[in-house]
Amino acid sequence: MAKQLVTQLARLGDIVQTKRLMLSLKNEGELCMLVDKNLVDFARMLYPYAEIFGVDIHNTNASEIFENNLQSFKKLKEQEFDHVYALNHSSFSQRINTLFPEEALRGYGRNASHEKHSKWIQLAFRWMKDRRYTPLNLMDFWGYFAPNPVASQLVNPIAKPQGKGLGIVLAGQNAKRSLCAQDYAKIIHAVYERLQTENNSFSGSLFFFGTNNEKKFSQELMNHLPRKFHSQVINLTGKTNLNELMQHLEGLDLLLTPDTGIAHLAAHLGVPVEGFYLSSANCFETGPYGIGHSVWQASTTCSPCTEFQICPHAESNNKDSMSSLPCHQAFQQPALLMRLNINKYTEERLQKQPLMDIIHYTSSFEEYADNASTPSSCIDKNAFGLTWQGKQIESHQRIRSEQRSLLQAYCTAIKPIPMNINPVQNTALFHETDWIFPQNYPNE
Amino acid sequence: MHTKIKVLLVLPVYGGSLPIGTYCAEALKELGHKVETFNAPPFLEAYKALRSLDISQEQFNALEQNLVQLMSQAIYAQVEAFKPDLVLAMAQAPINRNLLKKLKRDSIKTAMWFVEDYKVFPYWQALAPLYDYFFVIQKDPFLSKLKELDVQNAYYLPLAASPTFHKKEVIDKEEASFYGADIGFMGAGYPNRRIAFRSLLRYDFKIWGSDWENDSLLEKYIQKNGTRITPEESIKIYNANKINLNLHSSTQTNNLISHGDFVNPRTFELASMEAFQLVDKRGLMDELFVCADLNNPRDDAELATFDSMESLHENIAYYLKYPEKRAALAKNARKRIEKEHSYTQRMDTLIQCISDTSMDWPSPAQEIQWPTNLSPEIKTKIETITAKLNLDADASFNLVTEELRRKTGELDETETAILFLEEWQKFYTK
Repeated sequence: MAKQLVTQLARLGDIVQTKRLMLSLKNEGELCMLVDKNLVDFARMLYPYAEIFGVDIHNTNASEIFENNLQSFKKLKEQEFDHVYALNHSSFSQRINTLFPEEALRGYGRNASHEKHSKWIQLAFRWMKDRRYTPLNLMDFWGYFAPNPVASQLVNPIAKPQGKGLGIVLAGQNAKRSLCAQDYAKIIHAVYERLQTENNSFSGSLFFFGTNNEKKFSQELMNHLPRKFHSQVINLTGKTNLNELMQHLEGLDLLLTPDTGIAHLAAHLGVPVEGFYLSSANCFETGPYGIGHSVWQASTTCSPCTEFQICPHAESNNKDSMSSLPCHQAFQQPALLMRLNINKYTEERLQKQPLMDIIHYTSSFEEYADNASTPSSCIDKNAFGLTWQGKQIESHQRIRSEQRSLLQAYCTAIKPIPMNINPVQNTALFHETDWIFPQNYPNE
Repeated sequence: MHTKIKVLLVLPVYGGSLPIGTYCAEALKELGHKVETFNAPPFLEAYKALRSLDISQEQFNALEQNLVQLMSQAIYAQVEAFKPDLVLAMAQAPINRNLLKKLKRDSIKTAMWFVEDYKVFPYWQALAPLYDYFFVIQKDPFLSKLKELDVQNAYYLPLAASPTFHKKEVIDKEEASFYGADIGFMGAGYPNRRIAFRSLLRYDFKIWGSDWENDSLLEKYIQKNGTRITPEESIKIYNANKINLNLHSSTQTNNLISHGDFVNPRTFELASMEAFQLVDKRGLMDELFVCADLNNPRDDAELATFDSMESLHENIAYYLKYPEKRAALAKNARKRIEKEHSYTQRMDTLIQCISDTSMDWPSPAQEIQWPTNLSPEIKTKIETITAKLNLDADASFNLVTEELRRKTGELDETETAILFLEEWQKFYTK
């Protein structure tokens, strides 16, 4: 039995998104995981079948960092792993890679003293050059590091309302992933009313989730919510650790969120997620994984952008300057609120008020057929991974589907490459050197 | 110079400056500098492959240009990874003009050691102005011509030897009989040599090296069918001969002794090996060695020289007769090399020269400190690491991480923890 290590030094959401890889590797042998020291308990909760190690990154004392990590690295070294799956493109991860022989490394490996990318990672770098067409989400991208990835349907339970109430993630870690309180209150109101009419078992409780930093925002949000809701609110802002957060998430009917981190956790628990993603969050990259989720995705001409890049339409990434940005304005449309509580409006009324710059997607394991906007009639039992079906026509879908087909052919070598490939995009994803030099399976 | 710098030494694809480049790299390391070399010779195969294509000259020119561009890009990638303080190019190094401009833009010092005759390789006119420093093996009129081109930092830097490589070697009888002769020559068949050597056919004479084709008179004296001789084999040849003939090359045949200025590498190498040589007199030779001729014998003489074919013959007759004179000269020559003419000394001069004439060079790296309050046990571990890296026990954090970053293969947990800490420091001091 192989002894395997997965190094995942990124944030909470990324640890959850490593689930397909973890489940796949569990079948291959003994499994360990290395995460940020502060997330060790969380990772243990998520992956009880793996031994979890921690690395000290976010400490402010150099001596402590050094001494703590020296001990951790010694333990890791003693394990003599057969395979090390390095998932992060970061200098920290690169340094940790030096503990292991080059031939044991998968993913972000090492060539002498430099980082080396597997062919699969090189492909990802190519598709990330134009993120409008992102063909594969992060969970699947990491999942395909495994020699035998588990079926994507087996990763998370099908999400269903469970009767406990509506969860509200107040804000993202970054202001660019946070809605303004006034807009968010209207959204919550609309969804709340919808749940009341759609879901007989809806308890009416509203749970606020956030860190200490969002305490002020929770108050602002309360101020914008109708008074009748106030007694329903259970404000957990700054009151939960990760373990408690999971307990509170469990059993919810729905989680509303402008961010991705807690959404992954909800999807892991089978709680339906309804995301409101501004330009810096992209459901095709990091949307909640599994069936039963939906995302209202900003599709302004400037999207997608990145979380930490300063918006060219804003003076800074400061929360106060955000509400006038194009992707924020999209979430201020009455047309959105009408669609959030769709049962209240006739089809004719909705048509008169078209939704602009937002596309409503639902999660799916069905691949699109050649006809770009029509889902294929037969459900692929061996789904390549998660994708999103748009309720409206989406201009990037055709190219995204073609890229997915190419990747699927690359990963599985069982499905013929469609003949109607757009030559430009084909060239963008595959380079001549791929066939000039020896090919490797993505988990190289 | 006390400060140790990082040097990227760019070797040529092929040619005489290639072994000199490797000696320079070793010399720089000996001086304690961090050295990486750009290993250009493997690209020669790509060039040969292009050459073998049945295509038009225009097509070949374009491909050849692309290959040069590719090599320059590879060098730049190495520069980005290694971040040298100096890019030192040997003559014929595959650095194109764009790369030199880029390096200037990046404020990385560039120097070329042009170990060629400026009359034979005129391309220096296009390149010299683009280098920050241009070191040459000739003085005036070359230095004046460089000045005319507005090359501000051009300096004379004569060739040398590598005493660790060019050393006296005791060879066995069998090798002595194979490699040795009363008179031996090793080098390429330049026109002046072909004519001059016709007068030596009455001696026990062996010629080694390439480019001797189509010479029926010399044919039977040419060893190993005129194939190229490796530097290792040349040491055996030089050590086995009673007299090593060292006639500087020339394409002219009207003057067999060219009376040129610079002193060739063979002069230094033979001297370093304590192998006796008869060498034609050169304009810059007297300031490098004590030269003797038969009319003016000196006990402290280091080189036996000739300035005409007549004097060559007189010298051969004399030194074949007096082996002890040969031995004394060769010994003096070796001492002079050790004292003044090693590549280590040349590289020291070169770096010192750049340092003396540059402001704020090398630019100081951001100094990261070792964490305070480390436990004695961990301090001991760090000392073990520094000792393994051949560094002082109190080596700076930067120096240790720099060495560790260059290590390939698996590291131990302490080494990894040091490198991890460095990344942490960079992250938190951004």
